[in-house]
Amino acid sequence: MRFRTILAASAGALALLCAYTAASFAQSHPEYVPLGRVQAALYKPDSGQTPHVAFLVAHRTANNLNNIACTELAKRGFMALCFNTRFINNEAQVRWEETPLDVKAAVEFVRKQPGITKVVLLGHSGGSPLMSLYEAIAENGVAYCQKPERIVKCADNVGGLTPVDGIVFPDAHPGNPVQALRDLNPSVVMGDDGKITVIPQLDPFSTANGFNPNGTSHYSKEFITRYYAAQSKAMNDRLAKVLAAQEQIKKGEYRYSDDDIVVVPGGGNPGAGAGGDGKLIAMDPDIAELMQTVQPRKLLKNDGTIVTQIVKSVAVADPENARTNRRFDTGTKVFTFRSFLSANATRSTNAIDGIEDCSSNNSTVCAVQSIHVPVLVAAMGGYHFVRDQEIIYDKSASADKDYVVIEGALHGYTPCKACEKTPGQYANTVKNLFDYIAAWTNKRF
Amino acid sequence: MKISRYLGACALTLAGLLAASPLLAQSHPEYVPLGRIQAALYKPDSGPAPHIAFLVAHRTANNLSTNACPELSKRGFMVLCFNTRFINNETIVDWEQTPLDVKAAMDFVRKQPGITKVVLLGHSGGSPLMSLYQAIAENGAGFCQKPERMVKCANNIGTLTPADGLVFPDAHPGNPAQALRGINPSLSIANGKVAVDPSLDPFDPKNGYNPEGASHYSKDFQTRYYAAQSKVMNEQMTKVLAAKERMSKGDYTFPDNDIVLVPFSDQDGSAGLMLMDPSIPEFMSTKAPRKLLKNDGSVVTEIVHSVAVPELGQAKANREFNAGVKVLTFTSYLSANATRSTNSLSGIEHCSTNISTICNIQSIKAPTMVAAMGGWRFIGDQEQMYELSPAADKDFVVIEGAVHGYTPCTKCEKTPGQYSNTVKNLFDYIAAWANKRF
Repeated sequence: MRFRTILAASAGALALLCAYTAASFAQSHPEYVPLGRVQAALYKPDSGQTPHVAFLVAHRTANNLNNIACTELAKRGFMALCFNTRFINNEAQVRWEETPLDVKAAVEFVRKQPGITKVVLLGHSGGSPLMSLYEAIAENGVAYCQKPERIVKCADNVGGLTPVDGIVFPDAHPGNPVQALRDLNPSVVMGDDGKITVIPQLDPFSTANGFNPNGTSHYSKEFITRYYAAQSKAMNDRLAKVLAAQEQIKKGEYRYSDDDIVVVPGGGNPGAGAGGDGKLIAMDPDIAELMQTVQPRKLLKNDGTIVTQIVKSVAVADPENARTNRRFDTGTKVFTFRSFLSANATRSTNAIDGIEDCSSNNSTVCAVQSIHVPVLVAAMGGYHFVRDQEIIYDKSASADKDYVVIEGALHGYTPCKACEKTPGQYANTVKNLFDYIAAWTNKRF
Repeated sequence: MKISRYLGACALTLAGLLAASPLLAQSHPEYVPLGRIQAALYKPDSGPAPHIAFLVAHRTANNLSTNACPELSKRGFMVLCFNTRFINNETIVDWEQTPLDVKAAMDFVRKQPGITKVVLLGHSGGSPLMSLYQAIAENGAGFCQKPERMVKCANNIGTLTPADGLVFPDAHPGNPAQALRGINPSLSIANGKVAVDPSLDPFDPKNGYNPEGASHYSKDFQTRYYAAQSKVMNEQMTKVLAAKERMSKGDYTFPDNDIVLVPFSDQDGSAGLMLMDPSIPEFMSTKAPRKLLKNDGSVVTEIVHSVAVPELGQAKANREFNAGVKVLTFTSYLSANATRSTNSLSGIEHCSTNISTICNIQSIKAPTMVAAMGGWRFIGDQEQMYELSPAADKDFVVIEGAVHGYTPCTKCEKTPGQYSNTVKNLFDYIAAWANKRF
């Protein structure tokens, strides 16, 4: 039940970074702001001009009250309202279609702050479907989240949202259902007797299939294709069972009148983020379909220069998943019917290019197609979402859009030290990212 | 799965109160990250710098803006309100880690300029939290490693700095006792279907249930019910412990942990008899004459009866998944939601768990004040805590007409506004108690 290994590593790195920048942080006194069911911390610059741009920073379930973005943006002259949704720290509790109400509370608060004329949403990781859903509804009305193809539709209570002025996606992901699909180890099957069996032909942790317990795995194209299809089959089967049980509930034929548990062994970290999963790129970072751009793109190098090229992630393999994936606390997702259907399920035929993104309201890829305000997508070059974010960029309907990859950065923006060939090779990731975001924002607003 | 409906109702009431409070609007609590805990630091807006700091927290509920924070800071105290690492998630609780979170808060306030005294405020689930910290601080880690504990703390608890006093506004006996008393022992699931034992059904009029008002269960039914609750918990505990044994031998589905569902028992859907029948004296009244702080601010000494009214929604909520089923793991079940017992009234082995206010308080010698809410359901439990406390300086008072979240029980009133001063009365009493000692 722990937060993912990578987030933990990021948190550790962030703690070090916070300690390093303690002099500036110590001068800041963020104010705690309760906003109904939302908890928020308001960061302002310690000195200089009163800000006219406010950023909103949040995640579906992870604590964001002291996310690194709060202090980095405040240091650069912006107001930042960092907040936690009503579902803080609890994936099983999530009712995704209620989350726009929490973003709404934050938007309305910052719009009332003296001097603020522009509001920018910052959607990192699970914050990307959160912020993009809000904006897609704000620009298009509730009909956006009630389309027939959605597995779960929003209620009318999310109407009347005020659009923001821009969105920044630093290491967005395609959406939690896609993450849940790609995390799933389809070789793990739990029988009705509660016992787990492993299908050898699909086992990503079998050396016969290309797994390397001591370094980078190399899966064959044939295995990858079978695996992605099997992931979809496993999710589709579970989806069908849950929908059938919901039908039984409607008829009063089920043991509970409202909901039930959904346990996904081998599904990955049950908390926010990845880890403990069966995602092939975690073991084999050479899979080009996810780990590099298709077109030449901007790469913000460690020295601050920008080159345009096909960008390949420098991420390294994490063979530790072989152990954590089979454990309960680190490799088993726990949902309810509602949190599974609303935030963790998607229709698909395979986990790479067969995903029906708009079958869920929790999809950054779907939402950006209906967002027209300026959009900045910034992928971390030492992580897993370089290609997904190129897709997000390509599909964005905005006339003012930008895409850049931050060389050598981990998901939490800090340097991927394990990726470095020389010490300090990626030392400037945090500075480079937030300087870029600040320049992008100041140019527009 | 949800924070209880009554906590939700309290939160709404408090939100209303806070919205109406011009004083809070002048306050700017500072957000303070302390490792894995989140804290908000409240200071008085004016007046002398405080020398007393209160710590306010709960195992899982958000306490960053609970009404104790502004109410105490308005009365001249520093208040650090914080959320533990287990915020909003009962499933992930590993109870024996919680003293480390209180320690982080304690270490922080001890370093604040001017602070010479620290008082722990343990409300509801905060009462076992704060009392465990203090019991370990006063007695060492041996306290939470006693042989009778089902789960023992690790040595990483280390040395904890004792607080100078403890205030328990509507403490409860401990989560395992609460979990036990919430079980509906008449229901079970077999082959996916719910089976009912009519002889134990608390929602059957034949057993005293009244769907439209106060139920009245016979003494015989109560005795059988309390024993059956213990039987259900003991059987589930035996199964979990057996599974852990298999796990330790490598003969289990997972090598580390697993899910534990406890149906028909969770807080929102609790089947505790006192919810439906508020006349049960063992829970709802004091045994001896005690101080009652009346709405007009006067104090009388008498046998105190709760004025709580029956909950009418339990029959439905108890059967629901979201309101009635506890979703736990082996870890959170054994450490925070299970106790050994022979019956759920007087047969609880409180010291079989570390999450027991009643056990912990017996090892705490710092000044202790217990304040029961007179429109709720913990009067008997808190009188027991008071009696068992070995503190040479201890106090027990009941706040007339207050619900669990300190606000007026308007449903209990016979005339409008009858209990309108509960929040003021409680915090004035706490302030006077703290100022007199520290």
